[in-house]
Amino acid sequence: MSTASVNILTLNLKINGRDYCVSCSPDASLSSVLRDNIGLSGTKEGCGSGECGCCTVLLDSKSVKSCITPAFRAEGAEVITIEGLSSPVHPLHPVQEAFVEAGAIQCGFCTPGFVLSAYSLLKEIPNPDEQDIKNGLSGNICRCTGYETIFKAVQLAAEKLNSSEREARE
Amino acid sequence: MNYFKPESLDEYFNCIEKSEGFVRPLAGGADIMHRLKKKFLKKDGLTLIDINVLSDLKELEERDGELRIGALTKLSRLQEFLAGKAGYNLLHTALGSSACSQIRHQGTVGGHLAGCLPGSHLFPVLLLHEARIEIVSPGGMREVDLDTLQKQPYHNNLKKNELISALILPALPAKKSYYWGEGERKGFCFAPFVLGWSFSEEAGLRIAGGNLPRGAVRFRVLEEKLAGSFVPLIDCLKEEFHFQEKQGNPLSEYQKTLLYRFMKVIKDKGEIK
Ligand SMILES: Cc1cc2nc3c(=O)[nH]c(=O)nc-3n(C[C@H](O)[C@H](O)[C@H](O)COP(=O)(O)OP(=O)(O)OC[C@H]3O[C@@H](n4cnc5c(N)ncnc54)[C@H](O)[C@@H]3O)c2cc1C
Ligand code: FES
Ligand code: FES
Repeated sequence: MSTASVNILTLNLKINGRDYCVSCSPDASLSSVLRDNIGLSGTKEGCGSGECGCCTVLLDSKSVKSCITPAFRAEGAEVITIEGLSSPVHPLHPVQEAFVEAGAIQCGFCTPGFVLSAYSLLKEIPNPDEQDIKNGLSGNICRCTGYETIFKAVQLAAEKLNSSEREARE
Repeated sequence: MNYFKPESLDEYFNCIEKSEGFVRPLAGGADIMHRLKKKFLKKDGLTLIDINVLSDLKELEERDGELRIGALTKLSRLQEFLAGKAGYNLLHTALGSSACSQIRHQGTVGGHLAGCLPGSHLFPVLLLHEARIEIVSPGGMREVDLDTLQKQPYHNNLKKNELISALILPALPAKKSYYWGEGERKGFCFAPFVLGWSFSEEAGLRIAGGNLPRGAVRFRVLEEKLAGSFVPLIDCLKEEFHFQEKQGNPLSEYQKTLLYRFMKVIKDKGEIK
C-alpha cells in the first residue's frame, strides 16, 4: 500500500504465535479485532477510551492499551494477549501465579490488564521497588482490591521470575 | 473514512494534496483513537495518513550539543535514552510522570507536540530547554519555537501540508532544577498544574508552567522579579512538603493547591501575562 486510499483494510496479524488474516475499517481498535474478529475475549474493554487499562496487551513485549491502538498498528508486530501468556507446560505464567497467591483478584475484570502491565514492567525492570511498581501500573485501574495486594503480587512475581532465571542458569 | 500509508515524504505530500475534508497524519494513534472513541473527532469525511514508515522522522541523534529527536520517536524510547543524560534530567522526570507506561509505549514525540495538550507534562520543560520544532513541507524545512506551535489548547499552528519532522533540544544547563506535576494514580488524570524551573549561572533562572488556559508558558516576568530569591523560596516549600509527607499528608495535593494559589496571587497582581 502507498498512496492509494482504502476504507477497508486486510491485516495479517501475529497473535500469541499464530497467524490471522482479518478485515476491518481503518479506525478499528486492536481490542475490537481481538475480541470480535478473533474471539480472544480475555482482553477486556472497560472504558474503551484509554483510561482504565483493562484492555492492555503486549505489542512486541511492550504494554499498550488496545482500545486506543489502531488495529493496523499491530501488523508486523508480535501481539501477546492474556491467553498467550500460559503454555502447555505452565498453565499459569509466574506473574499469573503470583496474582493468585497474593490474592490480588476480586471481580477479576481488571486482572488481564494488570498481569500484562506487570509482565511488561518486569521485562523492563526485573527488580522493581515500590515506586517502580506504582509507576509501572499507573495506567491500570482496579475498582475492587485497593491495589495493595496487586503491588504485592508484582513483588512476588519478580521473585518468582528471578529465581527461575537463577535456576535456569545453574 | 479514508486511509493512506505513504512510504516516503513525497508520497505523504502527494496524499495530502489529493485528500479532501479533514486530513490527519497518524503516528502512534493514541490521541486520534481516544478522540474518535470519545466522538471529539468525527469519522465521516476523515482521512487518516499513517506516517509510521516515514524513516526520515525516526532518527534520534546528538548534534553540536543538541538532541535532534525524530517526530516518530516513542515517548518511552526517549525516556530510556535520556536516563542519566546530563542536561536532560528534568525532561526525563517529566516523561516519567506523563501519562502511563502504555501511552508512553504508543505515543510519539511528534504526536505529543502536535496535540498541544494544555495539561502536557512535557511542554513546560520543553520551554525551559528553549526547544525548537522542525517542520517539513513540500517547500522545505523551517523551525519554530513551542510558543509559535501552540495556537490554543488542542490546536496547533501547522498548515495542512506541514508535518513535524523533529524536536530540537538544546541541553538545559542547570545547577538546580525542579519539576512538579505528579499525581498519585493517573489513568486519564492530567496534572492540574505543572511547574518546572531551572537555575544555572549560564542560563540564569528559567520558570515555566503548564495546564493554563492557553497552554504552557514561560513565566518571564516572574523570572526577572524573582531572580536570586525564587530558588531559596522553592527550596523552603520543598522542605515543608517533604515534612508534611512524612506526617502522612500527600505531597502532590499540597503542591497543587499551594502552587495554584501562589500563582493565582501573582496573576491577580497582573504579573503573568
Ligand atoms: C489516555 C491518555 C492519557 C494521557 N495522559 C497524558 C498525561 O498524563 N500527560 C501528558 O503529558 N500527556 C498525556 N497524554 C497525551 C499523550 O502523550 C499523547 O496522546 C501522545 O503522545 C500522542 O502521540 P501519538 O503518536 O499517539 O499521536 P497521534 O494520535 O498519532 O496524533 C496526535 C495528533 O498529532 C498529529 N500528528 C501526529 N504526528 C504528527 C507529526 N509528525 N506532525 C504533525 N502532526 C502530527 C495527529 O494528526 C493528531 O492530530 C495522554 C493521552 C491519552 C490518550
Ligand atoms: S478499555 Fe482500554 S483503557 Fe479502558
Ligand atoms: S478486581 Fe475488580 S476491578 Fe480489579
